[in-house]
Amino acid sequence: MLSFSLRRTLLAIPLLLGVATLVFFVLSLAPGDAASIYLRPGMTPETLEHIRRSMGLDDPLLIRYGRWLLAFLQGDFGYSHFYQMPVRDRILAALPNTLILASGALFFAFLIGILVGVLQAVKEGSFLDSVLSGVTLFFYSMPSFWLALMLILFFSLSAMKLWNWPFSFPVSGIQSPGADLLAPWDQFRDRIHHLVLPTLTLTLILAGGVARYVRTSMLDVIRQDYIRTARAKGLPETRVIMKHGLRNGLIPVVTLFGVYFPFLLSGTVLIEYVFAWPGMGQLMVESILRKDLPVVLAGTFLFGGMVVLGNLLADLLYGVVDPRIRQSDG
Amino acid sequence: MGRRAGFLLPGLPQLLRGRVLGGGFALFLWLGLLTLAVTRFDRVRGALLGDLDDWIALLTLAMVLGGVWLWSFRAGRRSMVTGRGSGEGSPGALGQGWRAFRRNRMALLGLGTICLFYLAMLLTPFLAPFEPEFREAYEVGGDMTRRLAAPSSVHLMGTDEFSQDILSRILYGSRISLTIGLLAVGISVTLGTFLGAIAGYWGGLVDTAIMRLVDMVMAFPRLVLLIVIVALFPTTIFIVIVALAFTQWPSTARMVRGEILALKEREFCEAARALGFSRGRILFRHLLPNALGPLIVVATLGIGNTIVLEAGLSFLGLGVQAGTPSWGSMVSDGRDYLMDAWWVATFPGFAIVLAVLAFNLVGDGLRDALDPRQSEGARR
Amino acid sequence: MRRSLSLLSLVALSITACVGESGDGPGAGLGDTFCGPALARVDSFMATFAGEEPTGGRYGGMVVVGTVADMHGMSPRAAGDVGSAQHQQFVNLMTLIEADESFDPMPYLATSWEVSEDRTELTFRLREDVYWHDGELTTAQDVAFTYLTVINPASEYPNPGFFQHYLPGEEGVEVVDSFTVKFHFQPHADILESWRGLAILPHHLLGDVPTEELSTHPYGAVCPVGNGPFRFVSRAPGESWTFQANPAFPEALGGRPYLDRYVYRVIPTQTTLLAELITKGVDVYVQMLPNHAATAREETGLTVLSFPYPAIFFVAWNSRVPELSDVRVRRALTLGTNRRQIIEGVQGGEAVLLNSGVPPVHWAFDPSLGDSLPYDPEQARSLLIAAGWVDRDEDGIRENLDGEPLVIELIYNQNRERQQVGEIMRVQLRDIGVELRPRVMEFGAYMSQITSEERDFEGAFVTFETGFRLDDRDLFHSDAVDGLWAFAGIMDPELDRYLDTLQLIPDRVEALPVWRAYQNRLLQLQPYTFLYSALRRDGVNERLQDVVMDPRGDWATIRQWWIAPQDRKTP
Repeated sequence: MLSFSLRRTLLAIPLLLGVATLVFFVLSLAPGDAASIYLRPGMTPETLEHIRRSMGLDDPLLIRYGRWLLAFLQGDFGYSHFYQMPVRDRILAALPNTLILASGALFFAFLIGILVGVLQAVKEGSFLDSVLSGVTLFFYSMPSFWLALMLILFFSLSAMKLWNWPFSFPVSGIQSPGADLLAPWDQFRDRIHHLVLPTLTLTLILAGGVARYVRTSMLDVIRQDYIRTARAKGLPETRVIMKHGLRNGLIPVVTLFGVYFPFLLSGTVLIEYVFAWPGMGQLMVESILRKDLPVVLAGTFLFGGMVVLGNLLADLLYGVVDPRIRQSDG
Repeated sequence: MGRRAGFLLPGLPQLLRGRVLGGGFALFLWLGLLTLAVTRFDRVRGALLGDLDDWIALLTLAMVLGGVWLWSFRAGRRSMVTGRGSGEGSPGALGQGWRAFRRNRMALLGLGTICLFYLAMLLTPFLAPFEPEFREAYEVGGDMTRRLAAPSSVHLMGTDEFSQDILSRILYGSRISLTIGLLAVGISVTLGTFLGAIAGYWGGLVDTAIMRLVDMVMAFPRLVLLIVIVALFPTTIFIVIVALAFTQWPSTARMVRGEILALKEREFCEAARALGFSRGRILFRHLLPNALGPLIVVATLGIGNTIVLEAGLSFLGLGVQAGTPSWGSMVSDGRDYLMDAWWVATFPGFAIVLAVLAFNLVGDGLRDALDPRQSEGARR
Repeated sequence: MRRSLSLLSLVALSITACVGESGDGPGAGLGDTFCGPALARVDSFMATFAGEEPTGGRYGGMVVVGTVADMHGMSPRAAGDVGSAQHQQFVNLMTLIEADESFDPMPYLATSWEVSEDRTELTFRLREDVYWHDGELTTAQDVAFTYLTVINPASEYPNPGFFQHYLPGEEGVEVVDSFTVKFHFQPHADILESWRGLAILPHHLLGDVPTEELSTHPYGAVCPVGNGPFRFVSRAPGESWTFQANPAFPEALGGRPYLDRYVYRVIPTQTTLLAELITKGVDVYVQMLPNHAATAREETGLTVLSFPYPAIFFVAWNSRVPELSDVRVRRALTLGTNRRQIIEGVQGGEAVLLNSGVPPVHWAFDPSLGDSLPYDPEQARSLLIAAGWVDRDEDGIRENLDGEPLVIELIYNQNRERQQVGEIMRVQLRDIGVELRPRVMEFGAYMSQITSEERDFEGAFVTFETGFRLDDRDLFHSDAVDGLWAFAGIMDPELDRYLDTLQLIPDRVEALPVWRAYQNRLLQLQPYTFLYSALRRDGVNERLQDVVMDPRGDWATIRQWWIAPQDRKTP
């Protein structure tokens, strides 16, 4: 199992390079000159020529590609002309922000999703089950940016103006300006405060999907013979569910975690845009629009890498929680 | 009695026999359309001289009115003959599925909603109170206060900053939003099924090649690729659809491959092989139809996701050309007015939620009915 | 459950890790060899003022300004974007002269200046008490260095045209003594105007950097060291810039600014920005949307300052295209556009209708010109008929003799204002039988299309930040017809004559008639349909006092801004 997974991961490296190569050519072949983004009224053609040169655009496409590939293989992501800093530094500034937001949201989504899903499965067919099904499906069907805008309206503006709540949540950014002057504990609180709305948005939308998945897989298990046997043995219902149901019902959820893993980087694009969250999503959108090729390439590579990692993680976790697979594969 | 009632009012025989949902829906549909045809008679008549849209609307109106009536009439007559409404149809997997599906109230509600959405889309020329680009304020001698007007009896959902009627634009916008979902998923499911089936059935090198391609497209951050394509190339609806389709097929391919691999080992397949049927025939006549259930589920859920995704692209200011109404771009245009004219972004947002919800309800219902063991993957 | 617990601690860990990290500032680890030592020197120089700074009264507090786009920074290259240019001029760096409320030149880094009798020399005398934030004195050397840098195309400075009359290369500048610098040039009209926009760079830090490498040097965007009223503290790219009051700022120029801290925040969604303004998360919302201004005006505690701004918005018609080569067609397009209604609809009435490229804040602006070419669809129709465009197949769109319909494609980049104006113009022009097809493009492709040699466009929306120094030669002069900026591609000897003359008349009274004649000629030729110059609106929290916004820029008066002690908030 492990060797199989490792082989797949190694195979993924040329695959990811292929993906980045595709992006390279698609972006380079897009109409319009990337340097012309920096054109300003009154600029002379000589200046434009210099901009083109400093962006490395004056060479033929294939040479540019070769140069990029060579540097990339050596771990040099290149230079962002728009942000005027090395791509590595720019990405390192954005990466933690996205990771914090997405990991928090994923955590709560799985927590709530599993709780709701199990509850639904246990009470299958009840009124509660129907209501929860409706609610989860409702959030699952909602465009995330739309929910984000609505939450801003409710929890920030209306909370403050209409209902006179004593508090409102900040609607943008990862921390208050000047937060670096605060005591560490207050800084921490400030960050948590800023996390509330974006995390809530993401959690609501993700939890729906998780709950639906958990419900299905739990129902699968509950209908199995050994559960019936356990019940027939006269074990108390909670024990049946907790001991036998949960254990087997949650195994497939582990694969779901693998599926959601890439989300840590790439799932927050629209949310970051609305909440001015300076993370990877915002960086990628901005860089694509600015044709900041090195940033887009590095980002694509990272995003793709997360998918591969997610698959690997799912494989490994599955092996850990379900020994049968390990045996049959090993 | 039932026959006469069916002749007079479609849905009535069903209602009389206690089938409230089906009968009620038929009755509601029939009466609604009749009312529409009568109140908008001038438009319906005008449509005879109109363009393709008008003709489609006209045809839809006639066919649905006639169809519902015919269905009710025949169902009523049959029930008179046999005494019971059931017993029709083949007992195949799909037929059984439909019977299971029919028992699911929520799924039926979703199906009804979808039908209404598409019906409204087709009938837009008769339904919409205004032209999508009727800009009252900017007509000669226009009244600028008609811009961003709150919902009223004239403009049921208010107007936007161009004084265009939101309800009309939602109706016209459904053409893009609903079509994009349907077409993109259609293309991606076809492509995914084809490649997945080939990979699963042929195996070997073909399988490896196709699955590597699947891995590669799967490793692609979908939204990033979509933004690259849609932002940097001249956008047409066609490009958006193709971009959406070509980033979606791998999951279908993977699923179909798995199904085929499993089905390949079953007896009926062995039998077909023993009879000396060609590979193509076995694959397309015997294996694929058996994989149809999960496919339909994936497709239905996929349409909802695609609508959300298109809305997301439009929200970033990408997607379909500005000026052409689509639900996503309407939300995007309206978000600047969120605080002084909430209706501009809210109603198209509701349209998205409602449509996606309906598709997901149907998808869930289909899954329960056709393939209870099929588990869903993650979104995005 | 155990797994989820460990996940929680992972989250907490990464949050605290980031809190800890922010203390070092994002500058740490970036361009170590330059930024580390440079910022360390700034810190130690600033530390020498500890305890000496004025306190109490108006001193103290923090202001947050929110905008939709990040700044490029303090390098000459970055001066092309409005935010960066203003931060270079008013916040982090200094210009030689600045403008007072009536836009007359005022001493700033230079105490005095002198133009020679024959108008070929300009001598600046500099202040002797301006320190770079790392403790070095600002001298004539810095001025000469900056000048030589920006006239080199390799610096990517966007406005080399400011100095086109200057003698080439090093002949143009002469360091007389440590605080006196002299420039040599051919006589021309606006001698001082160029110096208001050019921020002086530190020679002692950048002197060794080859000009080609300046645009990628960490100085600009990672650790700028200026000499202006605010010093750079930190930057989180895509998020914020933080500046701190400079205690060493010369007393004669007002000394240390009142604000302790000033933060420039990036919030890409305008609705979110408005929400932040209302919930007091930001103090200033720069360049509000018109309807957001209306919302903010109704809020208590907020004011909206609207002010004219030297920017013009127009449709450039490409006269190289056969349909648009006919001046009658271009006139008809202008006459058929109800520009007053557009101003009402898109800008809420807060814009000045234009008929030339002279913005309302410029001294040569002629208000009477606004009444020319009023909306007149009747006249537009007859002009089109005279030009041979008649609706021959009665489909509502005019055709020429060959049956080709009058369809004009109008390109622009993604932007709400342009989209709205395009849509309104489409409706209006359809009324006179012209089909306008607005087409949104990605910004780079749009710029390429309107500036490349092929000029593959028919009409294009363009917004120009004109500044106060007007020189339209690269737009309309025959000599520049193949240059980047000759969108219209018209060639007219009369216009050439005016354009050449205008650059040489220093006296405004003498120049005014020529400006008039020039603008009238533009009116006749209609290379563009000029639309308007919109007011710029900034939403401001009322706790912020003495904020004056005028055409000089949003940040022009930041040195005077202050907050009463009771209104200051601890973040």
